[in-house]
Amino acid sequence: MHRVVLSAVMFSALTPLSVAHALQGARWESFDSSRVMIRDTTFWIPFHVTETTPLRQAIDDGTIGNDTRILIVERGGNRVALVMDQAAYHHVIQGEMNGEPWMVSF
Amino acid sequence: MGPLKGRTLGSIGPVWQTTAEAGLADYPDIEIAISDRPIREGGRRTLFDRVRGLGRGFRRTMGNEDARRPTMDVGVGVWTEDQSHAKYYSLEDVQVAGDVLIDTFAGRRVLVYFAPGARSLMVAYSPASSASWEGDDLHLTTGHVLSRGVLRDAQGNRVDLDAPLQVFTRWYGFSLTFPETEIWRP
Repeated sequence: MHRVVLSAVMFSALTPLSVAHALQGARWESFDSSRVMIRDTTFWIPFHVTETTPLRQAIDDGTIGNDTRILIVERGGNRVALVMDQAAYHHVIQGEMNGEPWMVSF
Repeated sequence: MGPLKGRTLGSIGPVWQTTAEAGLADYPDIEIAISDRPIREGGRRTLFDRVRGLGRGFRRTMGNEDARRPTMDVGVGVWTEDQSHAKYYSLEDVQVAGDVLIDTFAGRRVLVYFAPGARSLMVAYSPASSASWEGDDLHLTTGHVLSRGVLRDAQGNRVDLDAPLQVFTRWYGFSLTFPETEIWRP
């Protein structure tokens, strides 16, 4: 059995990672608005991606480490990596790939 | 409502959780989006130690929980594009199975494994009837070898991984998104 670094595993899955599909179909139609928490201010600031860096460069220049946990998101044959620790703060990350909007919630 | 009412973003593909090193091995040309937030290396352990359950405020936003698995259970959930099929594999059960198992999902054979480099559960379509570990390399009966996230055929040529939509997550998150999900049982 491979060694499991539970701290990493458990943290990475600390919150449900839902994607845009979750807003589709019947579940959206039965959405219960009474469960929504609405506040005047946003505690966590969503991350709107406007630029990216080659992952290799980010590792080489020490911006992130080899062991840094990342998410890899695919859309339409394109991929982008996100830093999981930052995703856990922002909760919502969005951007565009080849003109197509995408959003990931964590 | 805004002008985009009724439109959706559509599905994204699989969401992989891995390490920077393993991600680079998988996709050498991939780019990463980094925000201005500090990156807490090792901070994840602190957060895990601190957060072992869900706060009441968070629970109030949730629907009724599915008690078939513990709330904070960790596993990988897969689903089909049309959401007609969903299945959950608990990390605990996959570990007991030897970190790899062969199953059928939505009529296709799948390989469910704990990726040592990525330190997460992953699912891939494969016609292999069995698989076994040699160190950190996963050898399939088809002759393919999965090593550090890269699948190679018997000749050593890299082969694209064919994978269902999936997410490595807590049970509560997956079961609330897919209430009728199947659960893999040993």
